[in-house]
Amino acid sequence: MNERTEQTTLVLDNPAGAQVETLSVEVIRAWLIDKISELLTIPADQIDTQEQLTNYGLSSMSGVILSGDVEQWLGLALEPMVAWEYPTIDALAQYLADEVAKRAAAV
Amino acid sequence: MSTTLTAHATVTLAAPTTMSDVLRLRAERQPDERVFTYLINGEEEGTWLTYGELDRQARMIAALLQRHTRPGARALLLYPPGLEFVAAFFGCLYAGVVAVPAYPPHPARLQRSLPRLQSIAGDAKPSVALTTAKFLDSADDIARIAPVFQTMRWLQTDELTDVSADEWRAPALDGDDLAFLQYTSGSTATPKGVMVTHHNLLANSAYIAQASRYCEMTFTPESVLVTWLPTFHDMGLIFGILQPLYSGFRCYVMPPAAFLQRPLRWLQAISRYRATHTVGPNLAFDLCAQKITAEQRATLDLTSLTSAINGAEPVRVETLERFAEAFAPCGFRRQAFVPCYGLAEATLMVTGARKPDAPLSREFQAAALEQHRVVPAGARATDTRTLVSCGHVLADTRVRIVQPDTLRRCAPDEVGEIWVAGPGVARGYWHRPDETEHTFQAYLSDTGDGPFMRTGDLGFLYEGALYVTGRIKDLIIIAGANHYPQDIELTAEQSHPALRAGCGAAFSVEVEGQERLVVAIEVERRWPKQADEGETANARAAAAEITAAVRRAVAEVHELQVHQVVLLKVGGIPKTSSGKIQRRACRAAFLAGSLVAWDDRA
Repeated sequence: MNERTEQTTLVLDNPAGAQVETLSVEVIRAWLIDKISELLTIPADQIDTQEQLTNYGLSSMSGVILSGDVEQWLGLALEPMVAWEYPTIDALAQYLADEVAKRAAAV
Repeated sequence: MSTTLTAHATVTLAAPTTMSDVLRLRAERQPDERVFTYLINGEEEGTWLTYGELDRQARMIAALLQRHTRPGARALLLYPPGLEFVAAFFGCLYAGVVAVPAYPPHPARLQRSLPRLQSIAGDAKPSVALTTAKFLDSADDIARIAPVFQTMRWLQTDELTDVSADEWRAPALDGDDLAFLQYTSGSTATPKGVMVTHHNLLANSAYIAQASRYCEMTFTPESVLVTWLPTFHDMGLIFGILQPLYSGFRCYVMPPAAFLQRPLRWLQAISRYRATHTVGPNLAFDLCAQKITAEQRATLDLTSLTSAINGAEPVRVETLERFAEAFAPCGFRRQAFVPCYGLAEATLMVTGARKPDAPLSREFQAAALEQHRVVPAGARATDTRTLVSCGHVLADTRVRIVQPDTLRRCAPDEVGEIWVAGPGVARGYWHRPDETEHTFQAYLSDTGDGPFMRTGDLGFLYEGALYVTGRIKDLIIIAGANHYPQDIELTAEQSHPALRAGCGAAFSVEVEGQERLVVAIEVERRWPKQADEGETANARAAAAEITAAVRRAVAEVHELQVHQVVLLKVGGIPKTSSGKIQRRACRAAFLAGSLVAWDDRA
C-alpha cells in the first residue's frame, strides 16, 4: 500500500525554484507520508492515505508549515491552506502530481 | 497618567488622550513619513502607508461608519493579512466605534472557523461588519450558513469612491472610552471580550516604550520592526501595529502564512531592512532553528537586531539556546532575547524589562517547586527545573503573588497566582459582570489591597524578575499536594514505548468526595504490530501492560495513584489549532464518556 516507486527524475530536498520534471503520484504520496509522519509523530506504516488529515491532528499551523515544505521540495507556489482544500494524502498527492505535470507541459 | 510623544524635532507634542490623537498628531507633524510597509508573501514590497495617508483613510472609513452607526456601536473586523485592517481599525477609533477584530473565516475551513466567529458575533452584537471588497463576496455564503451575520450591515473599507475624508466629524472621546474588544481569551462556549480603553492602549504603549529603555534597546525614529504576527491577535495588533505608530518608527508587516511556509523570510526581512526589533511566540524561534539550512544562514546578517521579543506563550530555555546557537554565526546576540509575560486582560504586556546582561533563565530545585516553594538550585544540584525570566515590573504596574485559595499574599519564596494592577489592566469582560468581578475585582484577604486582576497563571518574583510556572486551572491538587499536569503527562508518556509524546492529558475528577487522578493518553496505532489472528486478545493484553506501566511510573515519580488510565486512539486528545493540549475539554469528554478508547477498535 505505501510502497515507494522510483520513476523518472526524483529530486528530494530540492532547493526552491529548481525545476523538477514529472513526478508520479506514488512518489509524491510516499514523500507526503514521510513528511506527515515526521510532523505529527505517527509511524509511517500506520498512516492511512484516505484518512482526513485533520483526524490525525493536523492543525491550521502545521498545515501551513506542511505546505511550505512541499513548496520547498517541488519548487511550486502553493496556497497555505492547500492541505484543507485537498484534505487527504491521496487527494493532495493527486493535486500536486497534476500541478507538476502542468508545469512540465508548459515548458 | 499623561504620556508624551516625540517627533524628529526634539519638541514634545501635546499629550494625547486617545490612540486616535496619536495618529492625528503624527499625521500633522510627519505626514509623508512611511510607517507601514506590507511584504506580499513576506518578500516583495506591496502597499505602504504614510502617517498622512493612514489618517486620510481612517477619516474616510470613519465618515462611512458615521453614516450608519453612533459612537459605542461595535464593528466586526474581518480582514485578510494586509494594511486594510490597520486603516479600518483606526477608522473605528476615529468614529468612536468599538472595533472587534476577528479571525477571518476561510472557505476551505468554514466548519472549523465559523462557530467561534458566531460566538463572538452573538456576544458583541456588532451592527456592522467591515471587510475588503474582495471578501465581501463571501459575506453572502457566511450569512447563509450563520444567520447572525445577516443582522450586520456589511461594509467594504477599501476602494471607497463615494465617501470623502472631509465628511468626518471627530466625536468627543476621552481615555475611558472603549477602543476595542479583544476575544483571544475565553472559549467558543464562553466568549470573553476584554474591554480595552484608549487609556489602556496609551498606557501599555508607554509601558512598552519604557521597557525598551530599561533593556537598553530604546525605540528611536531610526528603529525598524519586522512582524508576521496576525493583526487580530493582541501581540500582533498592540505591539506589531500600534507600537511603531505610537513610538514613531517604521514597521514591515508580512502575512503569518508567509512566515509559516518559509520561516527564512522573517529573518531575511530583518536582515534586508536592518531591523532593530522583532517579535514572535516561542514556537517561531524553534521553527527557524529547525527549517533554515546552513546555506540559507550564510545569507543572513542579524547584527542590526537589538531586540527579539518572545511572548504570547510560555518561553522555553531550550528554544532560546537552540536559536542563539544556530544564528550566532549570522551575528545574532543571545542578549537580544526579551522574554515577556502578558495577557489580553492587561492589554498586552505585564513584564518584559531585562538588562542586556541579566540572566535569561535560572535553575530552581524541582522538588521544592512542586511544593510551591522557590529554592534556587545550587551549582551541583541534580533535580532542577530551569525557568525563563520574564523580566521586571516597571513604573505604576504592580504585581502581587497570591495564594489562590486563601487570597493571602505569598511569602517571597512561595509560588502563587500572579495578580496585576495598573493602567494597562482592562476594564473587564464585555457584558459578563460575574466573570468581570471575579477576574478584575480581586482583593487581598490579609491587607485588603486591591482591586487586582487575577491572571490565572502561577509564578513568583525572584530578585525582582517574574517567573511563570503554569496555569492554575490545570493544576491538580490531590491530598493537599500540588501537581503540574505537564509533569505527570511526561512521566506517563515515557513509561512505555507505545505511548505518543505530547499526546496526553492529566486531570483530576471527584470520586466519592475525593479528587482522583485520571491520565488520558494516545497509543500508537496498531500497537503491537502483530498478525491479524488473535488481535483482540493481543490488544487487551497490550492495554493491560501499558496501563500497568503508566501506573507504576506515576506512582514512582509523583507518589500518586492513578485512578484511571484511559488509552486513546491517535488524535483522541483534544488540542487547539496550534497544538496545545486542552485538558479541560479532555476532562469534560471523559466525564461525558465521549473519549474514544484505543482498544475499542481492536
